[in-house]
Order: sequence, then C-alpha cells, then structure tokens
Amino acid sequence: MSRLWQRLRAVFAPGRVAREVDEEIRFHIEMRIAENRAAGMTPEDAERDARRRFGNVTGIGEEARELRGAGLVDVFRRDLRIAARSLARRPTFALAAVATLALGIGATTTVFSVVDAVVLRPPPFAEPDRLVAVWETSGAADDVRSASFANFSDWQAQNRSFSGMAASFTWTANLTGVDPPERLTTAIVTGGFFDVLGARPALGRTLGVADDRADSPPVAVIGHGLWQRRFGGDPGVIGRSIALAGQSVTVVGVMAPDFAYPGDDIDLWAPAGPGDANRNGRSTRFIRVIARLAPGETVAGARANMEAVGARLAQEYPDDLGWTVRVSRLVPLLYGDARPPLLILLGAVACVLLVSNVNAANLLLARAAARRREMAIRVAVGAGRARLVAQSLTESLLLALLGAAAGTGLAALAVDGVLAWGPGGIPRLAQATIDGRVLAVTLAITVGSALACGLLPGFLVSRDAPLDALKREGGGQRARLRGALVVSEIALALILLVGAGLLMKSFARLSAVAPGFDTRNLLTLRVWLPAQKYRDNDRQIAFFQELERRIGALPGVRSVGGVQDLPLRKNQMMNELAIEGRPVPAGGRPPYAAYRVVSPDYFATMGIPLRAGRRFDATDRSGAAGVVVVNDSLVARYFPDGSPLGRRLRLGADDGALRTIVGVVGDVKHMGLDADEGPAVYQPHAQKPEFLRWMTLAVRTEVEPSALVAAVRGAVRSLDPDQPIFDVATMETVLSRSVAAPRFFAALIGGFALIALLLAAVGVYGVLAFLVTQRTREIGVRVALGARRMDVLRLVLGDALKLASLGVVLGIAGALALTHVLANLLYQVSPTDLATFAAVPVVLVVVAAAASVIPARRAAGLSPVIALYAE
Amino acid sequence: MERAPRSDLLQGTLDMLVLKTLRRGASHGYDIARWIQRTSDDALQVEEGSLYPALYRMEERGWIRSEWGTTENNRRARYYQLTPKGRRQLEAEAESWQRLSIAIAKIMETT
Repeated sequence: MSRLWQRLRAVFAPGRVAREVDEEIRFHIEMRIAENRAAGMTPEDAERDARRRFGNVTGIGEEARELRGAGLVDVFRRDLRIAARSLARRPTFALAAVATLALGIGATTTVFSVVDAVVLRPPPFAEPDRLVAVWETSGAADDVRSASFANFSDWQAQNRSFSGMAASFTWTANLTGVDPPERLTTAIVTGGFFDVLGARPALGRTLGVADDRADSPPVAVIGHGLWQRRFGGDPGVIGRSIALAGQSVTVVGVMAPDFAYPGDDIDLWAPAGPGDANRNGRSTRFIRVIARLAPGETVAGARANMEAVGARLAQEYPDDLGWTVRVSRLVPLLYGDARPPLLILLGAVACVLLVSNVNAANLLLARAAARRREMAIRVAVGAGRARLVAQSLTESLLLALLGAAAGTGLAALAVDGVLAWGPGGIPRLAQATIDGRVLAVTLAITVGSALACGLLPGFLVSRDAPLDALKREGGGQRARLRGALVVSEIALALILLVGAGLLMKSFARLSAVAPGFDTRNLLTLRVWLPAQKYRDNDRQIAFFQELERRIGALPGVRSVGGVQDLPLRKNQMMNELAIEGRPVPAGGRPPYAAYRVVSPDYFATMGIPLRAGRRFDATDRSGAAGVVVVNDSLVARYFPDGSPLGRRLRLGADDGALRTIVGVVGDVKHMGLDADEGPAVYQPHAQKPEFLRWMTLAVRTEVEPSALVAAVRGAVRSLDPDQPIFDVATMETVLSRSVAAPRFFAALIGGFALIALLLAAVGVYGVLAFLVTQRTREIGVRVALGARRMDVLRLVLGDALKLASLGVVLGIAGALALTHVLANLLYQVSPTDLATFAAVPVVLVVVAAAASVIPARRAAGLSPVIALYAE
Repeated sequence: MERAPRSDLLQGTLDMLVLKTLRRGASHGYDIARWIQRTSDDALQVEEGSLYPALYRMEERGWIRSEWGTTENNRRARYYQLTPKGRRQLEAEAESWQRLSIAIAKIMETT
C-alpha cells in the first residue's frame, strides 16, 4: 500500500484503520497463544504468557493507532466519556439543554416529514417531469382544468408532441353484495392512463387499451386502502368478481399505497369504455387529460402544438369557439397549491430551531462560565486550545444527540397527530412518516446544532487567559454576548408571535363570515343511484321524491331538501347561459353561471332567503313550463338595471328550451367562506332528469342531527335495501371541515410561537440571573449606600426591559420584512396589521418582566455584607 | 499518551534487526518477532509489542511497505517487506553498527 493511500485512508476512514491495527495486534497475540498451547500450556496460562510477552496491549494499541493516523478515534472516545461524566454531574443543566434542543429538533423533524411527503417526495410516476396536463379554458373558471371527450379524441389523433395521452374523471359507484354496502370513489380512465403515468401495480396488472373495447369483460384495479379495508389484504383478490354499480367486475390489479392519482381517496380505477353520445359531447367538459411528452419534445413545443390544434378545432366546431387549449407540467399542478403554506411552515419551524439553538448555546455559555477555573487549570497544565474546543464540541454533540433522540420521539407523536387531525384536501398528507430521508435531515440539523452551540462556548473558554479566569473578574464581554443571544431569541419569538397573531385573526374573521344559509341542526348525506337499477329518468325522480317524503315523515325532521352539490364542499358545475334578447357579441364570452339542481323544498330547508318572486313548488314538473331561480350575484352581473323576474334564458348543454326566471334568492358561499360567490342558476330536479342519479339531501331537524342518522338510513333502506348512503355529516361539521386548513395552520404556527416564547423567557431568566451574579458587588455597594429594595428591583427590571426592547425593535423590523409571505393566506387581514403589531410587543415585554421577577427578588434580598465579600 | 522508548540505542537497534529479518523475505509481525528470538537463541527478549510502533514508523519513513495477505492457515495478516530505500538504510545501519562495535571493543580492550 502506498503511503499516500494510507494517509488518505487515515483521514477518511480512521475507524477502519484503527480496526486494522487492532486486528494486527490480535493476530500476533493469538499466534503466540496457539504456540503456547501447542507447547502444552493451559488456555489461561497461554494467554497470560502471550500478553506478558507483548507488553502493554492497550498502550501499544493506542500508540500504534496514533502512528497510523487513527489516533483521533481514541481521542474522540475519551472526550465522549469525559463529556458524559461531566453532564451526569450536572443533571439539571443537561436536562434543560436536552429539553431545549429536543423541542427545536423535534418540531423541525415533524414539519420536514410533512413537507417531504407532500411537496418533496417524487410522485410514483415514471419520469414525472415529462408529464403534462392538457385542458381547455374559455377564461371563465380556469381552476377546473377540464376538457371534453370529443376534443380529447381529436387531440389524441392530431397532436405531434406526445407519446401518449389519457383521460380520467372521478365518479362514484356502489359496492354491493357486501355488508354493509359501500360507496366507492372511483376513477374512470381511458386505456393509456397507467402507461402514460408509468405507474406499476403492487399486485396483478394495470388497465390497458384493450380493456376499453366494448366487448372486453368488465375489469377494475383497486387501491391499496380498499384492498386492506374490504379484502383483508388477501393476494387472492386478483381474479375475484365484485358487484360494482350493479355489474359483475373482475379485479385484475392492486395499486401501491402511495399511488393516489387523480385524487387522494380513489378506491378503484375502471376503464372508460367507448362511452355514449351524451358523455362524448363536445361541450360536456368534465374529464382531466394528461399526456407524456414525446422524447425530445419540450413543454413550450407541446404548448405551441396544442394551441394550433385547438385553434383548428375551434374553427371546425362551434362548441369550441372561444376556447383555447392549455398545456402545463402536471406535478406542480398536483402539489403546487400546498407548496407556499408548507414553505412558510418550514420557515416558522426554522425560527423555532434557531431559538432553541440560541437557548442551548446560552446554557452552554453559562456552564462554561461556571467552569472557567477548571478550564484555566487545564490550560495552565498544558491542554491545547484546540483540544478544549474539541472537548466543548464533543459535549455539545452529546447533548444534541440526546436532544435529537428525545425530539424524534416527540416528532413521531406529532406526526401521528397530524395524520389524525390534519385537514383534508392536502395531497399526500396521509403519507407523512419519519423515514430514512427525514432522519437524515434530523441528523444533519443535530450536527449543525451541536456545532452552532458548542463552538461559541468552546472558543470563548479557550481564549481565556488563565490568570484572568482564576480571579473572579472579567465577564463584561461575556455578559454582552449572552445579552445579544437573548435579544435575538426575543426578536425571533416576536416574529413568530406576529405571524401566529395574524393567522389567528384571519381565521377568526373567516369563521365569522355568514355562509348565506342556516347551518344549525342540518344533517347532510349523499345518495348515488346506480345506472343499471335506475336507468329511467322517471324512476330517478320518483326515487328522490319518495325518499324526501319518507325522510320528511320521520319524527324530529322539520323539512328535507336536495341539491346536487352541497355548499362549502367547494365543488360545483358551471354552465353557459344564453339570455333571451341578449345575443353574445362575436368573439365575446357567453354568460355563465354555477348550475345547481335542487328539490322544491331546498331553499326553505337550508334557510336561504328569498329576495323576490317565488321558490319552486309542485307545479314545476317535468313537461310543465321550464323555470329557474337565480341568485343575487347573477342579477347584479347580468340584470343590473332591471328585475330579472319573467325574463327567459337557455341553459347550455340542454335541450335549448327557454326557461323563465321566477325567483331570486340570496347568495350562498358555495366555494368556501373565503371565496366570493358568483352568479348561480337553480333548476328544479323534476325538470332536469339527466345526471340526476346523485343528490345531497339536507335534513332540517328539530333535535341534534346526528341522532337521526340511523332513522334516515332506515328510510333509504326501506326504499332500496342495496342502496348505501355516504358522506353523512352535520352541516356544522362540513362548515368546520371547510376551514380546517387555515385553522390547522394557525394552530401550528401558534404552537411554534408559544414554544419560542417559552424558550425566550427561559433565556431572559438565565441572562438576568447571570447579570445579578456579575453585579453582586455593585448591588452590595448600592444597598450599603442606602438603596432600597425597590431600587434594586428597578435595576434588575431595567436590565430586562433593555433586553426586551432591543429584541422587540429587531423583531418588528424582521416581522415587517417577512410577514408579506403570509399575504395569500390571510383573509381580510393585512400583513402589517397594526393591532397585531402593537399587541405582540406588549406580550413580550410582559413576559420578559415576569421572567425577571425571580432574579430581581434574589438581588433585592442580597445582604450587603455577603455581597461585598462575595468571592 | 506517549510511551517513552526504552532507549534510543535500543530503538535504532530494533529497527536494524527488523530490516535484517525482512531481507530474507516478506513476513508478518509475529514471524519477525519469532525469527529474531530464535536466531539470537532467545538472548534478545524484546517486548514483542514494541515491534509494531517500530514497524509503523519504518513504514512512514519508507523503509518497508505492507500489504494484507493470508497465512498458511488461511488467516488474514499484514505482511511487510523491504523497499529499496530500506535496503540502503539496512546497509548504512549495519555499517555504522559495525564501526560502533569495533570502537567499543577497542575501548574495552584497553585496561
């Protein structure tokens, strides 16, 4: 082995080099033992003789390892032992430091595991960067990103940029033949879906183009959750038949737990099949289209290509006039929404980590101060400065590792909490876990914390001239340093508190928004009729009308209403309008509105106020004159000058009949409390039988709504025993869930702010206690000269307030600079909200004052005699 | 923790003996110790452990080099062998040892 190679090994793998030395020595001794035994000695004598001949095994081992350059291993082991013993002698200090670091490291680990799961982890697709989403927009509601089947087929045929395209839409199907029947969220996908994504199944196979043919047997791929839940994780599920939506469907594959596309809760994927004329209409836009870029193609190139294709189609088909085709990378669209708040969360927890590190550094400084004499003696006896710094670092590394262990335990609990109470609607949140990647980051911040906390005290300690340390003087510089650290803690805590305050105020404002209807005592549930059983439009209407009658007859029920999509569920259908007497100018956008199909009693049940005209009633039957009801926003936008009552309009994708506006109702916050309500058109369900197979029923109850769930389920069963109900929740719950995300976020940041505040308070206490000891003589002199208790208290309090004000000033500057990142998350609250910025400093000053009470009282209680003779 | 060498003289002598041993061919540390012992008829009872620091120092100086190998019993052991530089060092030391012993002998012969 060349010498250079050996030297390199010694630097980069000292452990291995040390082990080789040990092995060589061991070999020697064992050879001697073998020879001795061959000469007839007993095993014990053989070994004793071998060791005697060898000499001092341990000493030679150390010397040998040192010579080979692996001496550091020994040094490190020794330092670790010294550090452990020294910490054991001061358990309160060790506990405080470990607890401080545990809080910081634990919080950071928790947040990182969430951010990793939601934002950082690559999705389970092949080459996710090559996937794009394709959709059409007319400028109206762009966040829906849908397309129509007819256009999708043409895109597939006419594009030049994609190696594959696929479409999907979410649907619901009832799983029957099992007890209880369950309604599944399904994704209906075209043949190339899994191939375009490059997704592999966990078991069996995925769907292919062959499954889309009209003559193929009905098959499906199920999700991991469904597999565990209803099939017990049995691998024999492949090939089994299940009763889905009245059909017998064969299960051909199971997906892995992390495959959650197009939604987090998809239970099952089924082939789209050839479809029907209704579904394949060019203006029925409800599918999501994805595509994989052909090799060598770029997103910009694909975009240009598809825009050209779209323009050609728009010229050919009037249904496409005014619509453009958009192309964008898929992955940011999937997870991009979650990125900003999670990054803010990362920033906030970084503040907490900083505060905890500063606190730990302060603790270590305090301890270093107490050990100045010990260190000075060591220096005087010959320990090098580098060794002292190394020892200090080893100690802080040990503390950091212990803190990391405790913190990881805390993080495991916290992640469980997030999984249990976290808001829905954040993609992949359910996959948050503490795995290898997260632990690697934890280790990195642990080592970083150890360096940050340990370098400073170590450096300071080693710079002390021994003579100074042996006296009690000096320390002015040290006091300033510790004061500076505490000031930074206070500033960070202020930033976090301001952020938390803003978020909480925003949440309070949001919660106070009136939803536009009465949310109390309202039970909601959804029913989805299978097409096979309820093929006939009349049968569907009859079912819902009879169901509403039966539920209405239950004791404790005041009224029942039905609507397709419940308000606050953030889901709605849009439709184009053609208002009679108002032709759309060429090249202009037609009017559009949210489109809601409701039962006659809906408005009354929900408590939506009637502004003008009348509600729907029994005369608005199928075959009678078509009627609609509109909301305030529609009137404001399209009939600003006159009453809309009596005016007529056509609904897009309809039979083209003119329908009369007979009533105006109040706006409802359909898309969430923070979203502005747009124009909406209501149609009685008797007059719109298509797509009526699902309804959400709202039941106004006299008693607590959840008490009636069983009775309602019974009413449904009595009509059709195979019909499940799902999404059963009281309106209050739906309301609460709709603001779950801002609430969760505000609570998290609030928690971090509290931790930072607590740590800052402890830091203030520590520094003040230190200052009091430093100024013991001064205080003694003052008392001897006549200072009263009050004056001493004021002195200490003054120190506290000085620190606090500096911290507050710095913190406000930082907060002003940083809170604008919260702007998108705040509802009707400015990022520089005066009230919050004024209240938080007051809180901090009060806390600082409170933290100074104990040191102040101790100082005031000092007897001047003891103080003056303090050694 | 430094172990002071026994005496400078002995340290340098040990080095020379090791180099001489290795002139016969590559050996591992145990073989070197045994050969020195046997060849000197057990007169030289070197503390066997001190061999290894010596070997490492000599390797640092470039007089010998080492390699992992296997013994007849299929065990892993580190084998050392002379480098050209080591050969030259051996000659130099042998020569100076010769002169030293002649000088001492001369002194001891006088009364």
